[in-house]
Amino acid sequence: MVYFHYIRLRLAALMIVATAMVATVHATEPDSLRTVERQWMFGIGHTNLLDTYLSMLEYKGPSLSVTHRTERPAHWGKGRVGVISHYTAQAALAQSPTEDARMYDMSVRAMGGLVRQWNPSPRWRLAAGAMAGGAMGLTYNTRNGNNPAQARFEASVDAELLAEYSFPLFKKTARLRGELQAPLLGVAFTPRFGQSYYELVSLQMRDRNVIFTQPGNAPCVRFAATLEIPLLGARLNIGFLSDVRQSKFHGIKHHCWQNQFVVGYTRHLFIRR
Amino acid sequence: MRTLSLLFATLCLMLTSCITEEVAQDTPLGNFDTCWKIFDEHYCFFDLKAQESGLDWQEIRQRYRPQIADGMTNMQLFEVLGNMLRELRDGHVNLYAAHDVVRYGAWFDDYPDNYYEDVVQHYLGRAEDYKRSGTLDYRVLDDNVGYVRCETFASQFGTGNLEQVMEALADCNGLIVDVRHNGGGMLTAAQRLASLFFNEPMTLGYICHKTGAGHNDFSQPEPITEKPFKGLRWQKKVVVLANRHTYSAANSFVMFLKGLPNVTILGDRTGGGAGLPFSSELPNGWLVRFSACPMYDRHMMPTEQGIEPDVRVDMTDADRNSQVDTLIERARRLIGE
Repeated sequence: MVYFHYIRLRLAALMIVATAMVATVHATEPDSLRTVERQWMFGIGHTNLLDTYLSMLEYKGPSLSVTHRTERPAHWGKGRVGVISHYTAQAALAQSPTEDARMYDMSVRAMGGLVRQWNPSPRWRLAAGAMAGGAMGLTYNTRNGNNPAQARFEASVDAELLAEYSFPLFKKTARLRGELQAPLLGVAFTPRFGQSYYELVSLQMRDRNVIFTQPGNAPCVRFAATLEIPLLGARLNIGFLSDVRQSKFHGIKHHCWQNQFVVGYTRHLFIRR
Repeated sequence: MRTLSLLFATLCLMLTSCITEEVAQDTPLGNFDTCWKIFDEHYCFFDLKAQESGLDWQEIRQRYRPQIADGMTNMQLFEVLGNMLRELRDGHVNLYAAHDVVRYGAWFDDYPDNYYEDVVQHYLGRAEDYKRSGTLDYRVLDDNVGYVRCETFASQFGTGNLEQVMEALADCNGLIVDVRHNGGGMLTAAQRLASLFFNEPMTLGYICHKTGAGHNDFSQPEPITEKPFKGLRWQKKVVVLANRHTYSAANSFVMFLKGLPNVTILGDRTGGGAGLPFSSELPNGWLVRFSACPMYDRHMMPTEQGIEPDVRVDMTDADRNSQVDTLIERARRLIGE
């Protein structure tokens, strides 16, 4: 009996120790590591600009852009939901086909949203979701008189698609990424066909200047393909950005097609939760 | 995954949907067609011109298009387009090329000038004799009449500018505002100057715009309202001097003031130009300008063809030779009556 009592005591002691050890392990091991990805991209390329409020002709010239992109897992969704944000500023200087006039175009855009992620294989990551945000911009023609500029204000909900493929490169992991955004629904400001900014701004006159947008009257898409190469604790990005912004409101046609070579870097921040 | 595929297919379809403007080739005929089309879709006074001169824009096309030939020079093309655009009889219609500008000037060329800068300078005196505030030159004439020369509305008047002018001329018996040979500028500047002469918010006129490419696609006219100037305002007699070169925003200034108590418009009919002009381009780079937004007076009457003065006065040769401005002298007498 004494022997069995001794064994029970030892088992109890072992259980206490084991419990304590498990508790210690749980205490020292993080619940999970949350990765926040921050990416800066700088683009230089070519713009094709048309705004029939200003001119019937397409203007062409160089353009610059800077994009700040962040991505992190949502606090919920067991890691399958990601939070993405994009902040973009771009400027272009385009000339008329005969080089008689110039257009300056600039815009800023901020978008944020959620994506559902899939990992069909260890090397592939796919994501799809929706983003919401807004943009404002201005196109200025150096030659026009009372219609020298066109302002743009818009808000939209965009579809977001993302595909990533990781592969080994010099004993590290490189990554190919394709990301596509396209507005599905939104609202935008536009003057009427021949409405002047004197009426809009000085006289505060309104004439259906805010309209609903959808792919039929504003077919836009932004596609970025980048290669991320590990370099000195960060990841060097090189790639291609194609940003197609178009609209046809009240008989005024606008397009701003940009194709740019982009370069930048990505930093991954690991946050313990 | 099926939804994802559908979404991707939709996005691919969107990618193929490009918004472009069909523009003719940079050939004489291409430039002619583009020029004609820009006016056909955007020009705002077809009805008015049809009533006034029987203008038929389709007929104009049929008449001028056969004059275009493939081998014609730029000068020849410019001449044909210029002749076509002059049919509109509109001072806001221009075609700008490197070598020349098409312009219609019968609205002043066929009439007396009624303004001579050297004669006006005789009234203003030497540079130190008169004051300049913004684009306004002003002084008190010998008979205690204030004289303000406004040669352009190209820039906006500051509150300080107008306050200083009003304070300097406050003791005068009356005021002459001279907008002869004022070719216009900013409508907001014309509104601001007009705001010195009324004490309650006023409807100064109406404006509308094209809502589509059709000749009769217009928005409902909206009132152009202006609040009175916040500082010292003119309460005594004011005579506005106008001539055939009083055009565009200056024409609007006269339109804003005509009919107000204490205001007399004196001189000749104004030049008109009541369509806010827009610009566009031809494939060869020539710039075209055209009336786009029509304006009307507070009785909804068009002023594109100018505004009749309340008192019609022409400059006499005798006065001209004696460095006397007939219009200013008549205005001084009106104020003194």
